[in-house]
This record gives sequence, structure tokens and C-alpha cells, in this order.
Amino acid sequence: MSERKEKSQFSGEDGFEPFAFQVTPELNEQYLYAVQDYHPRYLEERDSGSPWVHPGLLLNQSNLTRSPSFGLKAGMAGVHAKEEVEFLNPGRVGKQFRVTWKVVEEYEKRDKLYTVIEALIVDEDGREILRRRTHGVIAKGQK
Amino acid sequence: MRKLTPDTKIGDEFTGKRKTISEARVFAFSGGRMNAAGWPAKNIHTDLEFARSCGLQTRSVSGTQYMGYLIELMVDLFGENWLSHGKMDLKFVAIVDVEDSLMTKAVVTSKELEGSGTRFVLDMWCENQHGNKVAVGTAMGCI
Repeated sequence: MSERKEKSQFSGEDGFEPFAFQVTPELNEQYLYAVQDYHPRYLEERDSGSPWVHPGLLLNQSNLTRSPSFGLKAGMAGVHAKEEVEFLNPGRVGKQFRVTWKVVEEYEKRDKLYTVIEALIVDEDGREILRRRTHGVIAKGQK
Repeated sequence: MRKLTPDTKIGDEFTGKRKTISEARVFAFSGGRMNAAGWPAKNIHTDLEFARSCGLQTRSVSGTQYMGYLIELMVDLFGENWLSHGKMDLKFVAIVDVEDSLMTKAVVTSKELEGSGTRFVLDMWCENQHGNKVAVGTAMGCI
């Protein structure tokens, strides 16, 4: 398979469809369990508002694999190599969030093609929550 | 947990909590919503055969999961306002297996007065139970 074809499969020729999700208390607590961080800021109402969403949840929900238009052939997977994150505002439990992605860079390193994808999470009030750039590479099996 | 203060010096070191990544916690983080049909979803983090079909030797814990550990350490050090302005970058340098036990660590590398506050840069990393680093990066923020 040529690198060009592999690249198009990873980066999406028509861009990536945005992903919308709501953070329920149950989903937030699922992630608190996963990362073993039960700080009260993620569980209790504060500042006249709902608890904060754990940032690990926001990172996980903004992985490119969440895009409804993301797809790889069987035997292929995106592997995360590097990450840059900018925290802009805390997310609040109960809110709806929307993630958008765009490819910002591609480069080769050690004969592998890396794609840099920028994700932006915005809440239902239009408040920017988190911006991140992931450097990913495709892993594939023998088939 | 000590916090960063104006008296914190370059070279000061901080250590987070040790966390063992059980299979249940991997499923909670990477398996999708727990109430979804077919949970946990099969992917390179949750299913060995899936990982092998993609040419990987083992299923690996998502780097995003232990990014959550480093975020916890940074929020402890900078205060929760870090989630409104903080930045971090991270490289994933080794595979993390299920049941590995990770510890987060950080050291202050830069300190500058900025307005009425102090801006810090820290080297940070996760190391496993063998003392090997599995993720390395930097974090920036103000107090």
C-alpha cells in the first residue's frame, strides 16, 4: 500500500465530521474511576454550577476515532505518539460538547508517516474548553 | 502534596500518586460508555487479538489515560486555575501494559515573574514500576 493511500485513509479526504456528546454524571464518574481521581471538583456543585468534567474524559472524547466519519480498514489502527494540549476553560457536567478536527501537518520520521491533527472542544454556550494537537501514526497488520 | 509557590525554586521536584492500571480501569477509559451494547468496545487498548491484528505485539493502555495522571499532578501543583490557562506537551516513549503501576513526577526547569504572578515550566514524566519512563513532556502555567 502506498503512503499516499495510507495518508488519505487516516486524514479523511473530506475532513472529519464533528462529534457531539453530553457529559452525564455517570459518564464523568466512569472516567474518575478510570484515572483514579475523585477530587470533589469533579463530583460536587461549585461556583453556582455543576461539577467539572475530568480533563481525561475530554481528551478521550476528542480522540479522532470519535468522529463519525473516521474509519480505518480492518487490521489498521491509529497510534498516538505525541500530544500538545492547551486548557482553555473547565468543562461542566451536564453540558453538551462539540469536537471539531483538522489536519494541520504531516511529516515523515523513521520511515513512518505522522499526521498532526488539531482538535477543538467547545461547549453548548460556545465557550472553548480545550485545544489539542495529536501526532499519530497508523499501525497495521500483515493483511 | 506540595504546591508551587513564589518560593519554589528551579530544580524542586514533585511526585504524584502511584496508580496501578487494572483491566477494569482500562475498560472504563477505553471501552466506551459502560451502558452501551457490546461494552467494552474492542480496540487496541481493550482487546489483545484486535491489537495483534493491527500488527501490535500487545494491547497497550491509552496514553490519554495516563495523561490524566499528569493532569492531576499539574492541577495539584498549579491549582485548578491551570485548567483555564495551562499547557502541556507529552511524548509517549514506551508501551504501558495492563497492571503496570505508574508514578508521575515533575521538576521545575524555569521560573519567571509575569505580571503579578509567577510563570513556571516543569519537566514532567510518568515512570513505571521498573523505573522506566513511559511518557515525557513539559507543562507550563502561572500561579
